[in-house]
Amino acid sequence: MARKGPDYAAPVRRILVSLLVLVLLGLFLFWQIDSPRAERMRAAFIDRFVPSFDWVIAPVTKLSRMVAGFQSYARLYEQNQELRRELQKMAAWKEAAVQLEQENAKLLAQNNVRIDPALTSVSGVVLTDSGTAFRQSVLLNVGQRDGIVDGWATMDGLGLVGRISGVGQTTSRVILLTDPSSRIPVTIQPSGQHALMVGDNTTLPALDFIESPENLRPGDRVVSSGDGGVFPPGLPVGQVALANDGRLRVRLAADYGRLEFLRVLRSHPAEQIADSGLLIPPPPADFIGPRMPSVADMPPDTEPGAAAETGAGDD
Amino acid sequence: MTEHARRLRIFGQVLFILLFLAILFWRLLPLSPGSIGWPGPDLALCLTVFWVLRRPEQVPVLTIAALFLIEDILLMRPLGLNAALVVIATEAARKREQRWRELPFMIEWLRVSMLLALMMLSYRILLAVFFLPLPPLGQVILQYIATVGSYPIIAGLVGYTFGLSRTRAERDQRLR
Repeated sequence: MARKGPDYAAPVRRILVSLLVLVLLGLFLFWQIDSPRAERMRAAFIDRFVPSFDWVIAPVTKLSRMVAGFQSYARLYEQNQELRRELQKMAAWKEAAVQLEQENAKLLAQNNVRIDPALTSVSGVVLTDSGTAFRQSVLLNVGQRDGIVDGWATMDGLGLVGRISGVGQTTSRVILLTDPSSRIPVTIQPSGQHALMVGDNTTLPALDFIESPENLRPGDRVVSSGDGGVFPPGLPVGQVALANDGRLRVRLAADYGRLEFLRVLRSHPAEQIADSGLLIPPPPADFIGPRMPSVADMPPDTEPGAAAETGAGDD
Repeated sequence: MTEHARRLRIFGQVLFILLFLAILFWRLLPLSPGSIGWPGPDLALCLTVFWVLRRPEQVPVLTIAALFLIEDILLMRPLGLNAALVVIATEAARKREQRWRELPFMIEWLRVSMLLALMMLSYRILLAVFFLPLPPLGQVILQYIATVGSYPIIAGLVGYTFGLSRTRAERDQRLR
């Protein structure tokens, strides 16, 4: 037992505690210096331990959601009325949608358009929340094993939710659009303007770097622009809204607050043609090819084989 | 007697670890993922400071460091920074624990709130020094207020449930 004695126990303890603090600060410095490696270690740690708690997380979450569901029974009658009204409105919309769908199919057939076939998806279940009010992210139960790659876009059924950042073997972290570190290039639809959507830990991310804000109106559609190769273009993000502080913000289409199943879009980067010379590969030199330097220029006994073949090709 | 005290200490330590992990687990539950709520109190920190002030021998510094490191890892915070600050703060509290024991609870509360304020301030200063993204000041202040406000609640609840009251502490001290 470490009694608070007068002997040398206290100084030794003090030295050990300062060592411990130094080790922790060293870890922090390591994180600062080699952030990718430290983040990979963090992802591996989370990957190792969090999924094993899944059997507790799932029932507790379900139970608390059921309680929330029971609470809504109190307003059953009002909800019923509300739903009926909405159903009537929807009937009109459905008619419009069917007509539009037919028109769209016709136009697509005429143009022989192919929707990007590379855009398939992997679905995952939300395992955990971010745990703090200062960061907005969720952990999904799909990872490297399922072919998830850092940077892929994530959607729920309605709109863009975030970006994969940190992949473990069986888990991956999704940085939500509302996170303070989220920056997404977007296009605002009727006017076609480009802007940057900046998460700032509020429910409405702000729009930044707008070319001409006077052309925007609340209600305009916001879609991802695909600039910089971050996301595939054209994913629905939300609508422009004018916030109380006079800034243009985005009301997100995704059902934030009830994220349960998320789809990770397998977006393969477009094939980059970096060097035009590689587009048509040079033919193999020793077959039907450009002329080798003439035999007279070369020293006669360097490459007798090649010289002979060139001669044969010329004939 | 020594055997009994040792068993009590280990029991208290296990209890503390379990409570800490339960709080962390609760924070990670995806109850409404994506919605941005109020920054609630940092209950785990409250619990740790309270336990250090009541039963310092049951929370060794290594346990505190390991638990807060786990919290740093899981909550996507800078690795090790918050853990180091908590170790320093709890060591400061541990050193003064004997002197604070005779004082009324209000004074303890006041001192704890000052300690927490210093912690949050130094955390923020360190983040700024290393050019890391700073959380919005308003939310941090809200969290600080919530944490300080929940300290007496934690103290009452945990102290009453697990018998960590001051009188018991003094009696144990006398017994030893």
